[in-house]
Amino acid sequence: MEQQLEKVLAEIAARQDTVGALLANRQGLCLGTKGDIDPNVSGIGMAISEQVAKLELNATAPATICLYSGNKRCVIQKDGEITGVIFKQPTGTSATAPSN
Amino acid sequence: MEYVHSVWSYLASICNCWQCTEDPGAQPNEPNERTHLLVDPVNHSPALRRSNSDGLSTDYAHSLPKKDDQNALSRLVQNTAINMINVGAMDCHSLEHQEYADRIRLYSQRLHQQWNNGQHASIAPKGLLKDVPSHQFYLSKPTYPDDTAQMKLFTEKAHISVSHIQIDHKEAVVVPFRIP
Repeated sequence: MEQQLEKVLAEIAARQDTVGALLANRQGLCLGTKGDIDPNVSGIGMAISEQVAKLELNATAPATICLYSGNKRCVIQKDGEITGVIFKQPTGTSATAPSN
Repeated sequence: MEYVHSVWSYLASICNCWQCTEDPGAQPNEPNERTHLLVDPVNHSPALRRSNSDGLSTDYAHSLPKKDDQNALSRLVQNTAINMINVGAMDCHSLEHQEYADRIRLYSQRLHQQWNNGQHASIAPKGLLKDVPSHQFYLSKPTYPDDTAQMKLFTEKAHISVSHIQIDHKEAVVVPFRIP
């Protein structure tokens, strides 16, 4: 049933600096995970993205939330009925430099 | 037999007298635990001194031990006065102003000396939160364009894949009950 979804998760998590990827539905239930990420994070990610969306009610593009903790970061985005959560941690060899 | 017994008692009394002569000799040399600090307090009381006719000779007889006792007592009082801060004796009304000021200065110096000798705690960190790093460090963090592009790709493909989810029925949902 969800073979195509698992393929997308595997593709996103295949990058070297990506620790894990997670997909949640509109109720915050976990649709699928890949990599080192806890499925229970789905509800938290969905709630965070909903609260951030209230900061600008007239925003047309979905907000991309980036949480930093040490050298790790968590990217959350809610688009329509789907919320995506990606855990990233720069590796020693291929850490991408920030470009403004 | 009776004559021998009387001789033995005579010898015992001689020994007792010898021991008695030994004790007074030891006392003037050095004071021990049995030495009295005050010599005959009853005789020195004013009431008996007036009625006692030979009080003068008594003072002459005990002149040397009296000096030792007085020296020991004065040394004890001096040590106590040096080491102890007598709070009970600090009566503001009875003390003169100069003595009061002198005592204030002396006690302040002692407390200051004790305070300097003690170990002071290190300066406490300011603020309530101690384990939260500086916020300036995180405000300067940029948003990585790679993250934004990756997330956009993720959500687009996720929409497509979720819409393609189909449920394959493998068993019958409704099963008839077997009613015998």
